[in-house]
Amino acid sequence: MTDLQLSERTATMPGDQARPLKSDLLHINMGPQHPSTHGVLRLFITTDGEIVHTVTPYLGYLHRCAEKIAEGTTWHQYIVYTDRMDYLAAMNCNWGYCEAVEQLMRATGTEVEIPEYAQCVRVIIAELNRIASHLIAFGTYGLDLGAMTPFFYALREREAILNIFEKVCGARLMYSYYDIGGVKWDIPPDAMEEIKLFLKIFPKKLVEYNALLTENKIFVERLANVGVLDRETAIAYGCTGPVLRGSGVDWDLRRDEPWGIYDRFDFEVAIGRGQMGTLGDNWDRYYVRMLEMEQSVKIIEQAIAMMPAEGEIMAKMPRTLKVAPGEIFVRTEAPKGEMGFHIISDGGAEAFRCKTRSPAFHNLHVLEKLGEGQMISDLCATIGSLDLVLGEIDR
Amino acid sequence: MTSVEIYEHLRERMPDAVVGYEANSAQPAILIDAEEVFELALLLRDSEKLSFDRLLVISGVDWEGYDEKGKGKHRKIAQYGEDGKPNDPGPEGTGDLGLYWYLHSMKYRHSIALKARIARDKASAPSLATIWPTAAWAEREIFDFYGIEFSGHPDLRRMFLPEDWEGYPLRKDYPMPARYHDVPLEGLPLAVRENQQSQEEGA
Repeated sequence: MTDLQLSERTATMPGDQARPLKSDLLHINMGPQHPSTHGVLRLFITTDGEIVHTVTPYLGYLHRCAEKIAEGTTWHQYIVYTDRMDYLAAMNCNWGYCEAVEQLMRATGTEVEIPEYAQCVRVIIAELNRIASHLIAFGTYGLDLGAMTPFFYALREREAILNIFEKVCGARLMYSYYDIGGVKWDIPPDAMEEIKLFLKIFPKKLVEYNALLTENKIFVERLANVGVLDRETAIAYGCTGPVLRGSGVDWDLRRDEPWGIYDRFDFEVAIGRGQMGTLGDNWDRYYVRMLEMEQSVKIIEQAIAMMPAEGEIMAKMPRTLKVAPGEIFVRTEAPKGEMGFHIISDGGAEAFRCKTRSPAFHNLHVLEKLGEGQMISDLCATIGSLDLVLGEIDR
Repeated sequence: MTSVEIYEHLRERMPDAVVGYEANSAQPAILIDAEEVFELALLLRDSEKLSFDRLLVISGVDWEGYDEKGKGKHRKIAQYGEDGKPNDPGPEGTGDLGLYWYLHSMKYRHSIALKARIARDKASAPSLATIWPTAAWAEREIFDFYGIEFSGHPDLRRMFLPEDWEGYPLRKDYPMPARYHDVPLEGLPLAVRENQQSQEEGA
């Protein structure tokens, strides 16, 4: 072998110092089975080393044809399917659907007068479920970032809420508790006592959480200035709920477009302020949820105070429900954001069309933009801050 | 601005695009020409008086078999029969497809619904993905379920279903498939079949 040939050969050897190290794009599938994707979400990532270039979510692993089912089931039967959307906040999904049907009935001339007592029960239960949902968001977020303890703390308090729900409606996850015209059962007296006890204890627990995780130096370092979502992008991508408020947008349907009796409550809308870094970073989105739990406690306390001693839990409704022809889009504030139902009826016993606007679907869309240029480990932190539930995204 | 004022404003600026106004329905809506929706959306977003910065939802509708008399006797969708086999969906549909947009303005806190009808055999509409990024995914979902093509969409693929799925499931005349990739979709659920089998064996 001549010298020339030898030098050519060594020049093409890997790790040759003479040539600059060339980087290469790598395609990775993250999920559908990945602990940090909170369900069966598949992300197709193009990376250069640790840096993420593009993120493309692939959906549909949990698709159960809910909208097709809505066209084949009666108005009442479909309530059960709304449970399966956001399974961590099934009460809020139930309410969103029932509210949409009730508003459509009212707008088309059928009187639906929800009794005062039932209105209060609805608010109490929905806000409890909001706390339970945010507790999961808080607990699993710690878990995503390697902090295991907060998860057990969060589940301990969520367990108390689930025990209350079990006494109220017999189920711990799929409640189907709300009905068109009211709620299905009354809150039993011992469950009411448990709610009051929970409200007494829970604010102290929030202080504990904040000491444990919110102000933890490692946690703040991981989240502050990461995944910054500015106000304009959040609005343009249709983000809602804590994701929108984390970017400093002061908008909450409970206050701004109240449904039910939400106009009577005095509470503050929590928004991100960029305390730990830039406005709209992961920490802001996380902290909005912590503040919202505090406000939910305030709302429940007021609802209990204004609740009549006893009353009806259901409006007078016909046994077989038929909704007069009409089309409506009604949205309510679920824990993940604005949950909307676009319902068309032509006077039948089932919907002609029932579309769900799921908040997490649009919140996930913004990940395509947030993920660009991040480290892979920060991508996990960003996914966690969006608080996704795949049951609701795929429907 | 109220919906009527928005309607008057739009009709003044773009008389060709606005078809009518639904005042008596459950929720007021502006009926528009689907072909003109892109220019209309630009006006809705950029006009100083309107400034709709949020597109909350795009929903597709298949108006095939809608009961105009309001008796609820619309065309029933195909379901699985008693024998566990998909029912016959009946003749192919001829009714219009529809689109529904719901917009909201963070600045003025007003909202408006837009509605359009699209011919079934020419199911296409301009994409709004370059105006509101939300539309990109919402339109993919409608393409997936209704087969409405959005012209100018940057990445029009199916959203939820596999890419080789045939047909558009939310259309009223959609025939339920019996198999997908050799996986039988017809027949009674496995648990029911096993139960029947064990009962027969027992007898």
